[in-house]
Amino acid sequence: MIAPDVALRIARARAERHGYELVLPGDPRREAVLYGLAAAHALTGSGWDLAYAREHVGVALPGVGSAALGLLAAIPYVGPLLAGAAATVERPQVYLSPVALRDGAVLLVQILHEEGHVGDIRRGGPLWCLCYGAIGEVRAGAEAPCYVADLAVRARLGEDPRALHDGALAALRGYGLGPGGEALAAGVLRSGLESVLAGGDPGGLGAEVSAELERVTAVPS
Amino acid sequence: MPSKYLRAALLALSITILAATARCGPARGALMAATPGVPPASGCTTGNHRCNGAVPEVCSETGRWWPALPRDAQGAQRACPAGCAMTADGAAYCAPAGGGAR
Repeated sequence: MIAPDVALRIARARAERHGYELVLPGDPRREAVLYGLAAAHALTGSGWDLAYAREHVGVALPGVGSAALGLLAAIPYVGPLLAGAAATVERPQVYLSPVALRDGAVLLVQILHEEGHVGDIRRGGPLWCLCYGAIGEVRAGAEAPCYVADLAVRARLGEDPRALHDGALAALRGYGLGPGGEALAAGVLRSGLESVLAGGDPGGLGAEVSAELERVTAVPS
Repeated sequence: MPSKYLRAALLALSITILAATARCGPARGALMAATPGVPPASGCTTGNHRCNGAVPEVCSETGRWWPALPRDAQGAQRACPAGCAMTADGAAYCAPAGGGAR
């Protein structure tokens, strides 16, 4: 059991260290982001449960100065709201869900999941954001490894890897990946599961979480 | 050009791009080829796994080797700390420290 305030301290330290902004639930920008994403998903025909997302889903967005803002602004109806939300800061933003603030383990998982997306945005820029929105295979290639991160962290915290794997597969079906994207996601998740079952540490994430927990709970001598 | 017309043009362009890439193979392929971070099409067999150094990868329906690990927050590709290995039935995975096969 990880206390939410401990997890939040870790999250804030990581955000500072890695140069992104942490946006907590209750921030009006988060609501704008969720509506914008729902609109974007509606455009491409992929299903998205707004009510579930409002409570559970974390999001990563590019920061101001990026050409991605121009693309965000062009999304019908809510684009200007989205771009306005993103434009208030210079750095990429990670928006946390209400559930994450009530459960320290969920918060840690969400942070490490969204950091994968922050890395994708930094690597791929505005074209990556467009690809992510428009192409199921790219969305699968982006999301499935981040769900492997979830699996690695949660398994390290004691959860059942096979149940985590099955849960991730089910969650990914909600992203509108298409048959090819779902097959890719299944392959990626299989790799993650095999890693954890073998005692491996996908991406070193398990060790990273352990080190973070030791750092914040260490008693100064 | 007044900003409202520029915004309308951007809007129309983005809708067009989104619609085209979601439904049109050549447009999808071109966009993917131009996007940093999207692996190049390599002709691999869909569904196959491999170890690319210390990174497990999976071949997609468009013949791209996608990493099975996320990037870190700076954009660097994460890898298996103790290396990558293959199961007997061809799945790539992160090996445990100290070795050991599945």
